[in-house]
Amino acid sequence: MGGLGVRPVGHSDPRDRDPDDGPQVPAPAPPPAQPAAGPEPQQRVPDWWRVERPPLEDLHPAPPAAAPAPVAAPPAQRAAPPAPQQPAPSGPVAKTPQPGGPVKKVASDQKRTAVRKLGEGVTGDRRVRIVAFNGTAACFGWGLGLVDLLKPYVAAAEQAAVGVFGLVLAVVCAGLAWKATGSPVFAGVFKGLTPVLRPIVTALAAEIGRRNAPAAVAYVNAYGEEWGLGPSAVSLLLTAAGICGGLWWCIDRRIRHWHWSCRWLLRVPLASALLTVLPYSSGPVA
Amino acid sequence: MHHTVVLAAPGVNGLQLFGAVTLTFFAFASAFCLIAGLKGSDRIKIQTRDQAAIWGFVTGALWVNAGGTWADWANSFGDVGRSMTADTGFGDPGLGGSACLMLLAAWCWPFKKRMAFPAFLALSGAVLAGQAGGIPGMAVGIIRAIVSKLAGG
Repeated sequence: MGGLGVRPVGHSDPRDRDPDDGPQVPAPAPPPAQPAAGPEPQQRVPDWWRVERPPLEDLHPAPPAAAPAPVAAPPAQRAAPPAPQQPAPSGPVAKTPQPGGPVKKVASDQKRTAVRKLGEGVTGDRRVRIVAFNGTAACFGWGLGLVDLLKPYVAAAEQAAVGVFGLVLAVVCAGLAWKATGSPVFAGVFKGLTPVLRPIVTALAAEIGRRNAPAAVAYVNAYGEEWGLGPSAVSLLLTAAGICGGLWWCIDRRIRHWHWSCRWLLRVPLASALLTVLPYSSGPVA
Repeated sequence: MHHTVVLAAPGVNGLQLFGAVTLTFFAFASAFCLIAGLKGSDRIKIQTRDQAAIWGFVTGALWVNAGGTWADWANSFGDVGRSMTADTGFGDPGLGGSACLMLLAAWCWPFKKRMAFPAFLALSGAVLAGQAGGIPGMAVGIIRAIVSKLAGG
């Protein structure tokens, strides 16, 4: 309809309105008189959404002549949590302190940025440090060719279970015999012959252990295969444990108090052995 | 005749004491428990990354063990892990290398609240370890053997 329509009575075009003429619609009665010292303008709607419960003086203001003093003191406190949808109050209310306190200045090198949080998380995580330390050492060993040097032994160990079992049994039996012949009981019985007998008994024990390897393989084949631990798997496990445990026992165990750079350099054999042994693929699990 | 009847008594099939508990049941139960635990169940509690990784590893092993559609799903997860590790441009680490990398990533996953990722990584690593064999495959083989015994296999 645009400007051609007929306006209802009492609603003239605002462009034609004379500012001195006053409103066409009768204005509501002016609000009651404000207290003289109140910085906050009187609100017709009670601000009940504030955290703080409004005092009754705001809703039912007393006549200024009756009690102006008690209303004058608290408004600065009442205005502390400003409502978000309200228009910004003017005057001294804008200078009230923020609820969270003053904003502190933080130096730029101490700010908790996302990148710094991630960096702290990575360097502060023990597992990530372990992986980084050993992974770089393993990469160095792979570059030196240690992985290719060890790989044929691992592959052969899986195929030659009897030989690995024989070696392990020989070492175990020899160690036990050496310990047993070093006891005071043995020395008490054989007295002066002990230094001669000790190597002989040890060698015999090693030979007995070596010859019993097929029996051990047959036992593992009979009882371990159904649990996923056949002779080839156990042989691979024994070889891996022997290589890695031997390197740790010979090298890494003795240098724990050294500087980390020396430890990293001497960790290269063990890390290379782990890089050889762990990703070794022997075919799908049955 | 009496001897034959005793041997055919039901419910004594291997270690299958509770009737027909199949490999599919174990696959479904592990999948349900894994998802419920990751979604925040108060009965099946998966509260740390390590627990999530262990659940994922066992679930991967059981899915492959169940065969059929479960194995297809598991192999799909394994293919994702294989592609993530083999197609990076740094060279192919092999099946065992992929399995180790996935399990290593699950072991040192850096985000505490994101527990679905270590579960997924370990599931994929378990599937790849089962395909590769070797030392990581032994753990998968042992889990499969135990569950197959429980299912009366």
